[in-house]
Amino acid sequence: MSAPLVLVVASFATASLAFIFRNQRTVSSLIAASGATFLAGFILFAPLDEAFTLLGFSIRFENSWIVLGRELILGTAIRPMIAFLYLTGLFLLSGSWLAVKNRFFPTIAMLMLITVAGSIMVEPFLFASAFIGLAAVGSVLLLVSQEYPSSVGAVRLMVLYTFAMLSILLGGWMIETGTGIGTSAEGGVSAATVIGFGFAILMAIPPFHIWLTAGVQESNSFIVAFVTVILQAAGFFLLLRFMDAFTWLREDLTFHAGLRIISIATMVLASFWAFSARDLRKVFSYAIVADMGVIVLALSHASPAGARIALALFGARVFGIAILALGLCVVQLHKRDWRGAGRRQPVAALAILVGLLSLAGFPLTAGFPGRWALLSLEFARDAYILISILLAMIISALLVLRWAAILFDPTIAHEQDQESPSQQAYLLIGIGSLVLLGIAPQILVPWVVEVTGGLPHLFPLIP
Amino acid sequence: MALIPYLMALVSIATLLLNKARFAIYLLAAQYVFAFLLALPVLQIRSLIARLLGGFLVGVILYSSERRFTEGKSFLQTPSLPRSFWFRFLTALIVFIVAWAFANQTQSFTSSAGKNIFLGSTFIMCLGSLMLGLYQSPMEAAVGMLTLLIGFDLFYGGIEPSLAIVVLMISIQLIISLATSYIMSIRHQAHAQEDGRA
Repeated sequence: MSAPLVLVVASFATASLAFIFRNQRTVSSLIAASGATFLAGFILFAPLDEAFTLLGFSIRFENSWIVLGRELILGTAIRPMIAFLYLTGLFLLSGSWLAVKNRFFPTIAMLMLITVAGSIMVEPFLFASAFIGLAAVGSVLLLVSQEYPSSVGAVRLMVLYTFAMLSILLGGWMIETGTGIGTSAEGGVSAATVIGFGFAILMAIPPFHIWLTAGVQESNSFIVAFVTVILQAAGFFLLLRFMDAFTWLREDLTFHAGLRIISIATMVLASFWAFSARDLRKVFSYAIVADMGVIVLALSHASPAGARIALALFGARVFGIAILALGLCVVQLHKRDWRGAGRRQPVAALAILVGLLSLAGFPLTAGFPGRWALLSLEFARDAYILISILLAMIISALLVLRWAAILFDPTIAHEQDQESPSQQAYLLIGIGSLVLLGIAPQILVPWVVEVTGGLPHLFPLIP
Repeated sequence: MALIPYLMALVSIATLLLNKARFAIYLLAAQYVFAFLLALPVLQIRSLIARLLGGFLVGVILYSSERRFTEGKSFLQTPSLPRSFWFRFLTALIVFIVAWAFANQTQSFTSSAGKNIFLGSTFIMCLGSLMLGLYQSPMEAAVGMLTLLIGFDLFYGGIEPSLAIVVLMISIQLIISLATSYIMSIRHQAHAQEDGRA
């Protein structure tokens, strides 16, 4: 039996089951979350390419599946990446019934997960961008709904990801044929530029974040969070695999210098934009963009340590984004006015603030250890990098103070509590997870070690 | 055969200038046929037939959506400069000239793809990008994206003939058309509800 085939069939089966129960949102969400848990377990623990006995049956899972002349491989190298996707799915799907009215969300989310997993499994991995493009276009069905009929962000997403897909396929062809790689300095720049353009779109680096800022204002925040985390994860893992596979890209100083400048600009600009925004949903989108800037900055260090920090930051951001999005949804379910919302829904408002603090890298939250480690890298001795990181953190801290004052405005009369116990429980678990990851970041270390173990060229020092 | 790339460019320019949703779908269907004819001497017939069938399905989906959900029979438009006929004509002309010059000067790209294919794909990729730059409605964006994808598929099919990439490209085009149809249906319902309230 082929493990990738099991993954595809089980994902489709879960999606079908979620579709059958689409009118019972809680059941549908729990089915999808259970499916994601089972599949994450299968990906992490199923023995591949060796026979074992289960309930008296001898079973052997092959790690590859050939489809239409191309291979899907569930190799050791990529198992933690795919497991990350499904575990993210587990966390977000298990909370979706509290925030999302779109009854097709669990079904489409599962289909998105397997499509993005396909992008990680496909060999040669240059075809990954086509799978990511497919997932991005499919996500339009989530972003636009009867409740949220506006489609500006969704159409932008579709257009931008189409461009990203084309540029990565083209860049891949340039690399494969030697048209524009490190053999000539001029050629190397051209291939890196084409690929860089694609990755900038995949990771919503400004100005390619415009779908996110539009989408978050006209769609459900929780759905936007899911789409963003999954698509950015696909782009981030693909970038890591590109850097692992191509020495010239890994060692190209111009490429890393470009990454550094872009990441600093992203971080600082997005922080300022967030500070000037009057709508908390826009603040949410800019906080995601600024956080991505920090991750790319870590990656630009061009060292195993930098890439490890980028991975840790990436793993930690899911909880912050999820509870921030759920907090926004809970507040918006009842009233669209932010002022005084914290007095009506205190846990939701607290989740929003803690989520923002985590994305800003405030101490005792999940985003802090990664930033602290980043400051310990030698390139942080460059004044402009140090100032940029600190500036972004300070602006974000001020931003949180400002929004705390707005959300808990004492001049607004206190109203009856409108949060359900389930919403409060989920939000408190999320806040607890953020604090736990802030205090004990080593929880993420096994996952980071697993991922880095699968990228031997990018992380040569890992045993 | 040498005329087909220019016919493709002409069709793309006509799509931009006519600015009518239904005509744009007809012209998009014509692009699929031209792409089929242009690639006939180079690519495998079975993959070309698959692409053509995919294009036919895309056309049917967009046409039925346009019939059901569009009342004005034209793209959304305003009389402002970026949408006026002469602006679109001039930008299309400039893009056509730039694409023609690029296609004729770039020799390294033509090693594995025929010159006509490269010329045709460059024309419609550039003009498809222009459509995307000027779009105002989801249907317009879809026509621009599909034009761009036809051009890219024409070029990429020559250098990567794998069946997997054919299937992926067709799937993406179908999902784009389905997503556009879905967006149009949702907008139509929202407008109907607003009208009902009024």
